[in-house]
Amino acid sequence: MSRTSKTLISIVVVLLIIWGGVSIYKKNTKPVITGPIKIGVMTILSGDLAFLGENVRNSAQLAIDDLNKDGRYGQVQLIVEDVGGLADQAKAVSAFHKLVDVDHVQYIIDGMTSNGTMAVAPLLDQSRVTMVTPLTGGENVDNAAEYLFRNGPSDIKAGTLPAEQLMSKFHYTKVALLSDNAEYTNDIAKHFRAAFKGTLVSDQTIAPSKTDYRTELAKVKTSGAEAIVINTADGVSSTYLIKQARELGIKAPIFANFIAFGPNLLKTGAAGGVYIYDPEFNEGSSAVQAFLAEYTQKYRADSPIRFHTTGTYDAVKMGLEAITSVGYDGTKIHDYLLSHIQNWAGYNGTVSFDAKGNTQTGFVLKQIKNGALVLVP
Amino acid sequence: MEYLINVAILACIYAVLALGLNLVVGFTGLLSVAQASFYGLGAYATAILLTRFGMNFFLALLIGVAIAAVFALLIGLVLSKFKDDYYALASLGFNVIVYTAFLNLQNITRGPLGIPGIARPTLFGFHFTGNLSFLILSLVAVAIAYLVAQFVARSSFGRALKAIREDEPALRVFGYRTLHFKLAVFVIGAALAALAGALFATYITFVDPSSFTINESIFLLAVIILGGLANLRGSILGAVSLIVLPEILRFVGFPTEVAAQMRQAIYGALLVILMLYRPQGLMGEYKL
Amino acid sequence: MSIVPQLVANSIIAGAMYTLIALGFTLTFATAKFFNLAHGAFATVGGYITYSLLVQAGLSPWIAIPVGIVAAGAVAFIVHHTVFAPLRKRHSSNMVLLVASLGAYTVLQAVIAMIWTSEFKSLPLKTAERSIEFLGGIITRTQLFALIAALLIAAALIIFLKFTRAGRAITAIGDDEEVARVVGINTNRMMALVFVIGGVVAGVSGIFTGYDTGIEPGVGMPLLLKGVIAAIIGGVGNIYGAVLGAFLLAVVENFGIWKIAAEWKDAIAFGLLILFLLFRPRGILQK
Repeated sequence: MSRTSKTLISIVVVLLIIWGGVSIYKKNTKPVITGPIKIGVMTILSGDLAFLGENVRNSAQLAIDDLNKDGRYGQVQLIVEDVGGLADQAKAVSAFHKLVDVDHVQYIIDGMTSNGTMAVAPLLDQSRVTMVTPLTGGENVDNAAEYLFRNGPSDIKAGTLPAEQLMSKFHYTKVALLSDNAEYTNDIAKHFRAAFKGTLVSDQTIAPSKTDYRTELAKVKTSGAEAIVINTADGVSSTYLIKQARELGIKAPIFANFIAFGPNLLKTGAAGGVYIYDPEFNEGSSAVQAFLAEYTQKYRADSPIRFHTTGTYDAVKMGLEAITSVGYDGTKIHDYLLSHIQNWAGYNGTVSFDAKGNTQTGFVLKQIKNGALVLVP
Repeated sequence: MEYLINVAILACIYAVLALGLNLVVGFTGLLSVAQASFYGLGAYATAILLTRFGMNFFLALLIGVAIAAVFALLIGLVLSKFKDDYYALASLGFNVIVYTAFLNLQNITRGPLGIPGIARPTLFGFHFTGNLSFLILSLVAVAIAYLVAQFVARSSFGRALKAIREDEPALRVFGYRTLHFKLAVFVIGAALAALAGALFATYITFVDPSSFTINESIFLLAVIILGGLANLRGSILGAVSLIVLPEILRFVGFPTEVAAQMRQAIYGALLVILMLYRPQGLMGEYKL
Repeated sequence: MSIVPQLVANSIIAGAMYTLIALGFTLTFATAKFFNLAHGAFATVGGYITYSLLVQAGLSPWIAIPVGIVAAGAVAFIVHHTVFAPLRKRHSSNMVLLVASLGAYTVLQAVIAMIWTSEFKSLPLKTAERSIEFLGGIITRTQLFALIAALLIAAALIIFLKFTRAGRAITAIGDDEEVARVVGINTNRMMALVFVIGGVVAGVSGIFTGYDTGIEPGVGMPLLLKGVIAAIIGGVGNIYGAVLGAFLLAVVENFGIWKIAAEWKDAIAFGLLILFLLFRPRGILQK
């Protein structure tokens, strides 16, 4: 047997011995926490979606500053971990372990795309650490873990609401759907197709983040669709779709999800008249407007995704409430959230967690007029 | 502790991937950018067999390896017509095609929704749910991969591979069926990648196509080039380095806005510097 | 209303964009004989410098565009000088150059992302975009300019390579570098020139991309890969080939989307490449 093989086998044997010893001494209790209240944030701080992660991080910090202005919560520490870029489940798992095992965090705010959330979900239940996501969630996330809460809008509604309104409100029976094959939009498209009672004269899946959709749009143009539904997971594709649709002379009204609305779309000049399904949050409240203004002032730019800001604020607030009521323990926080966040007044509106830990926030129909979103009555 | 165990497990998975790729690139001189496809095939096969058919992990692993091997045979056959840069380009093309298939064959793979809820392995009633036990399993996998790779490297088969790398036409003149050798090593590399994929699937318990893009293949190439081509211990060293480095950076505290870009820039600069000053990598004997 | 005219128009637009990137690539590949993956980054640099001058500094397009193009050429020169030239002097293999070019691409992309963030940016037009009827389909004014530019540049390159001394020297290097050197051609200087020209053309491609659809730091690689496919199927090293390959690729992609679903677009492009590599590796037009 070669030397290297022998070395390898001896390493394995040694590890088995260590493992045996550790298992005997390892007790399955959580460490006693003293010191500042730690709120973990796992989000995307690098790559294409960095603006999303920065928004979540900034909103969380601002929320803490606001809520703790009089020092009632003592010292509150925000620990932010980057799970950078779309793809990295492995990074999400590593970030989780760092937060929970090294920093001893019991409450985490989730600002990741759903593949990161899904990778971490089983770990939450295993370690009994509570995580709240103010981002949108579909069926995947809604059912992923007991200790995972969603207080952002439901993807199911992002599909069913347009499906209902296209027929009931606008009387469009022939509709074209352009969807990209991402987790977020896949879910929405599924629910849309199931709920739409008219005819889908064109149903195409586009490749995400490409730049040339003219042929797909040409197919839409010849399909005779009365309205076009654009359902993409990133603002890049939707901007191109809308711009190129208008360039090709397509006149039908366009209904898009909230991701489509942004400065890039407005710059194209094709944005006027586009309908947007905007996530519901308590826009009318002066406290909310004040908070958003504070965000703009402190971070020198408007919040790019306002419902993330309000949702993160709510997540921080309910977390602090829970921790000061029942102590810094993931299980107790979990139980508190389920029982106490019922008809709870947050910046997202009045919300309640159902048995699975999900709220029922939805969407409202708006239209782009002169560069701003105007509510459609 | 859990945190370190987690990093170690990931390093093991990438070590297995690196060993497989090194056999193909380092020993045989075939610049394959397709390793992530076989990684994905192993991962998806394991995921589907475990979630939909409740199969035992070890059986699913073998089937996953077999599936990857079959695909490797077919893809390798086509690739064998090419040389050097064209080989690299064509293998990249295959990676794109396989990835697109993962994304779009939703009846099989659930596309971007991915496959959640993959169970951890069980063996004779023992569940590998604890991370420490999973680490042991991963280390065993690395050991197996290493032994396989070493067997290949030290045998006459391995010597033939190196000869192919240096001067294929000459070898053919001597009557060696170089095609068979190239196919064999490509299949072995793919099998090891599938092994890593199976481990990955059961460790993270969730797979989706985003882990198997060409970026992943390129990353693996960097791992083995850094570690040293045609040096097996170098591959393990390369894998450990490139997994541990970002984790260390987590504690170093680059301003987060530029952290990932800094990492990318460092990694790119590393490739350039290596090529300029040490193309054989940290421990290699073969310069590309 | 038939969809075919629009598909033809779409193919022509896409073909023009692919031509621009394929031209630069095929020239450098024919002369230096290795895949330069950083070529895509040159395009991105051109786009971003122009963006920065146009939007951030508020300068006129008449300044911003030429400066952007020059910047792309300059970056190409720097990369060649610091990375490729030393490696080639040591007779490094193609694979080393390929990996080094990948490293250079990664660094450039990361630096661009650090300076301008990863959000995608588009180059704004001074006057509103106008749609034009073209062969029964609709294209925009910018796209028409891109088409004209692509054909003009291709023609310019053909004339340059055939009728100028430098151009003929470059062709000679592409045929046989050793002989060219023996004959007295300053291969180092010519090689630098090739890369600068390649970078300049890539810069044009990046700027048009910025106007037509928009740029983000990673836009260079997918663009380059299409250019590579176009160059190879058209016949690598051949300017006519690059143009032909670009339009052929565009046609296959767009008509492919029509008949097969759009999400398989990338797979179709690479499938086409592999078929060509298998059955006609020299491309349609041999050199």
